[in-house]
Amino acid sequence: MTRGSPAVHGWRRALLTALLAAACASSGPRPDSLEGAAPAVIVEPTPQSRAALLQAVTDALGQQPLLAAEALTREPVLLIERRHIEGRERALPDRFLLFKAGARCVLVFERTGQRSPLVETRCAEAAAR
Amino acid sequence: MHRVLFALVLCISCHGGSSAYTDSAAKCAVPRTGADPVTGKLVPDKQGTLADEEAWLKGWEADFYLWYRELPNLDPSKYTTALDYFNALKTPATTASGKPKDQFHFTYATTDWEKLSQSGVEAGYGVTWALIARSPPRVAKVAYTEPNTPATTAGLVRGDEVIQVDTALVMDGDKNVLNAGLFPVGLGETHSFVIKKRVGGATQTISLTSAAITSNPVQNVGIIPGTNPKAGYILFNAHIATAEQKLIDAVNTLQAQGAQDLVLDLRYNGGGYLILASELAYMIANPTRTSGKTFEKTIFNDKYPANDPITGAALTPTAFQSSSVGLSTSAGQALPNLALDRVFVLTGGGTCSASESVINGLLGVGVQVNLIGHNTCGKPYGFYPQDNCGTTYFSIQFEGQNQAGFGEYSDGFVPGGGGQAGPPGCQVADDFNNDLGSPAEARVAAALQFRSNGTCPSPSSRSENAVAQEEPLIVRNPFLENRILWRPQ
Repeated sequence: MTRGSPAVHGWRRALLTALLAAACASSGPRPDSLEGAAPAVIVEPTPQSRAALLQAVTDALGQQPLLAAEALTREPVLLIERRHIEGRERALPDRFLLFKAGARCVLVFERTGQRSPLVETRCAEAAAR
Repeated sequence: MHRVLFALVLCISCHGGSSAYTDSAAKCAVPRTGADPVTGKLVPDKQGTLADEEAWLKGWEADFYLWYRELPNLDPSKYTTALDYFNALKTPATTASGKPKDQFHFTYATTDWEKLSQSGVEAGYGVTWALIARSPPRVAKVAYTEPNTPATTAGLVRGDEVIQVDTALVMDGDKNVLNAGLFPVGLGETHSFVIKKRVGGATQTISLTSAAITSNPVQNVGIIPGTNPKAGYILFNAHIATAEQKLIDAVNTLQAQGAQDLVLDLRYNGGGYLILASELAYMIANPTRTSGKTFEKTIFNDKYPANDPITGAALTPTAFQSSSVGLSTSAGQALPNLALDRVFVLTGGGTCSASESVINGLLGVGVQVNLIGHNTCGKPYGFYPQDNCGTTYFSIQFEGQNQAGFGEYSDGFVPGGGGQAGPPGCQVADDFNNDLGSPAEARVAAALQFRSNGTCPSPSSRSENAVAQEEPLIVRNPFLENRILWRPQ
């Protein structure tokens, strides 16, 4: 898949959705603005960046999930589901999207539009797969 | 929780006085206090009695259980725990083969059920064990491994046999020691293993440390060597969210490589997201068969003929999903399609639930589904789990039926068994002497033979390890397995 492919366009649609949600939820500039943002992945994760990601996800979900050490390092989406998936599961997983906005890495919880700037985290625009 | 509240509203509005059991909800013999340790939310428990918990269970089952008319009339006073009462509160009927009609009646501690993880991530070593003989003398082998994990770093491969775990011999050792070592519940646990290698038979001692493992649900995609016309192979192990993009990639790959048949390996796939099953079925079948057709329709008990009693949604059939739903890729992408009129599915006792839906959905639109392996698990059913007093209850509430209205395969799909639940195919035991996807592996080889001339291999022609063994129990996601994994000595 290349940049500009349907999948990447999809992430950009998700970004648009997040931007719209932000516009509805806020009047005036915000420190976690997504203007000009692009889907991103974490680069060179550190214990501090992993802790920041875990804290942001935990805050959004209200509980601490088990994350892989390489979470969000390969693609800009993080999927959270029950540790035990039933055999005929009808509910869908929660999704978080990572965006690079200027020098900041911002995690967006798709269900609510909640945005969390990740401290001590380096990210780069998601590369073509 | 909103789902539960909605269900309660529905119950009251639909059944008036018959739903008085909801008054017993969260009235507990031993109420929890404070916050739920997983979610941090205050628990709703109030002081009640065992009779309250039993009254709630009886009413809940009478309302939602698929076979509520077959529930036994139990005397609650004869049970000392709600769990004991629940375990008895199911249909006593049996299937045509003599198995209990309801084999999926179980519970979790709510604190276990609530736990979340990144899709496909769990504590472990990156190996899925096959428990081939669960009573002494026990046998456990590697079913498959995940790439780039402690298991592959230690050199484990399919078919390697576990001889000893820490101080316990697998054959007849302490099952608690075995369970603790084979199925670590936390990160950073280190255990030692004596392994007999599949190739060469040498024994070696290794040590494995548990980590957060990311499983790859779609593996070994490619054209099976030596096939002409080309037959593609996909090992699909779990209907988890990350599988969506990987299945799309797999089908694109096989299309590009010119696959004209598909061997779909579901032997270890216990199910998951039903919508993924629909996507996969669409990507396999000729679209002229699936266009406008039902992949699966959901049937609740006859109190709820038109609406899902939990969500309230109208019961509309699930179509074959021709575009991505956005589990692990963007939503709305047109899915690729192999446009096949037949498929060869490798099955085992671990082929369950959503995996069986793939089979049944394709059968319903006239795709020739050939089954190679062992009977599937027989789970055309599903649940909406319900919490009460710290226990999450699972009781069968709905059945899935295909376009043709067929959904009765509670004895599993039987390769070559005849009838609607017995598509053409061959009974072939699992073969731990060969890699999954290898043309030498017994089930793949049988699929290719059946594809070539419609015959099954004779037992004597199968590999030594692939015959005369019971169907292995594949243990996935042991993080939350409450049951005893080993039978008592």
